[in-house]
Amino acid sequence: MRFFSLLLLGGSLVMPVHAADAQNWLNRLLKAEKQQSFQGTFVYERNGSFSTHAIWHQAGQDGGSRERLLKLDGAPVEVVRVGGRLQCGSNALADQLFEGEPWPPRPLDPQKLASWYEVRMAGESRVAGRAAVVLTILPRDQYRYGFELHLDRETALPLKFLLLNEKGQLLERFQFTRLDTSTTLAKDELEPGPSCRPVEILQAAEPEPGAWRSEWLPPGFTLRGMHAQPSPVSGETITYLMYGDGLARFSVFIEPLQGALVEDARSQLGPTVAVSKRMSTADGDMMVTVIGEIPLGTAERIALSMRAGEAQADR
Amino acid sequence: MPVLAGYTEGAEQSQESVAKEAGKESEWHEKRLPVYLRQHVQQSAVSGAESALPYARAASLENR
Repeated sequence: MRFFSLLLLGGSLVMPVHAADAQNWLNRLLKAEKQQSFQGTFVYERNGSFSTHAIWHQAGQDGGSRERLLKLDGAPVEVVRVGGRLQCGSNALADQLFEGEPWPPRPLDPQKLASWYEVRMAGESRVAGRAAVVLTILPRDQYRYGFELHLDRETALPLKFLLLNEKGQLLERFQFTRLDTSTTLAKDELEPGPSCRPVEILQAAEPEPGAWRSEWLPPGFTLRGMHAQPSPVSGETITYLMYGDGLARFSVFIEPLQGALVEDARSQLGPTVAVSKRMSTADGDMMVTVIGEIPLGTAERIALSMRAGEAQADR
Repeated sequence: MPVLAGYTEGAEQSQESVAKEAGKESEWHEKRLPVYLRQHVQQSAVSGAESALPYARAASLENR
């Protein structure tokens, strides 16, 4: 609670708290991401990893945007997205996509979001040489993380995003260092480089209806997609499920152990936690692994709540 | 050293956080967790989100 108190105190010194204003800024953000063309560079930081990236984004009518992202340090990593769909990617980014993916996107809904997060104006800042407004998006429960969002005052584009744990510790940073919204993008800047390979579509199978479900989910999380896929390690069929609440996501992988003696495990890489729990079923022992940008305790509870059979109980 | 994050510049520092269950991860986990992790972030990156954040997460796993 100390973290929240500090945030609220900091915000109140600069600007009165107006939830409606915060909602308006979120609505402006949604429009800006669809309608505003821009180019710039940003940094991404998590768990001691720091990288710089360039982005060119050409807005288009009816969601027909075109976007190119290029990692600028280390080995070049690149993706090109058209209409939000991945067209090509370098290295492993083009691999492991399964038929039918990507699952239909669900746009951010600020009204629904307000059920699970408290969105507040927290003040003003300056990022990449641009004036920004600061929004705090605080979870209403202990099952998800909080965010700090700095939006460009002129365009409402996100200039900076911080993911914070329940103690207010920084887990992840996304921050523009340069943003240009006025220069017309050159056509060749949106063209993929030679390392950008067309995505490889792999065959995925429909799992049996209701093959797996979670007996408990954090409020607001719903099933976004589910399929069966071969394990790249053992060849066994894995059931894969993905859940989201509009901001946070987690994946569940369920793999038969085939008699292997494997202990439970848990680890954390920056914002992403991984929890594996062994489970006995009528079909033999399975390992349930939950991976996502959620607190460790949430992932543990989800892993323990996975059951085979019957319908999903969305909250 | 964990820090409290706020929108003041002084509070923005990276926090290293790696927690593991007592004992070494088994070979079973060592082979699978990186694959699962990569699929999770890639799925987020390609699932139509307008934000570049999921891409950045996925790109940060390259060369690991």
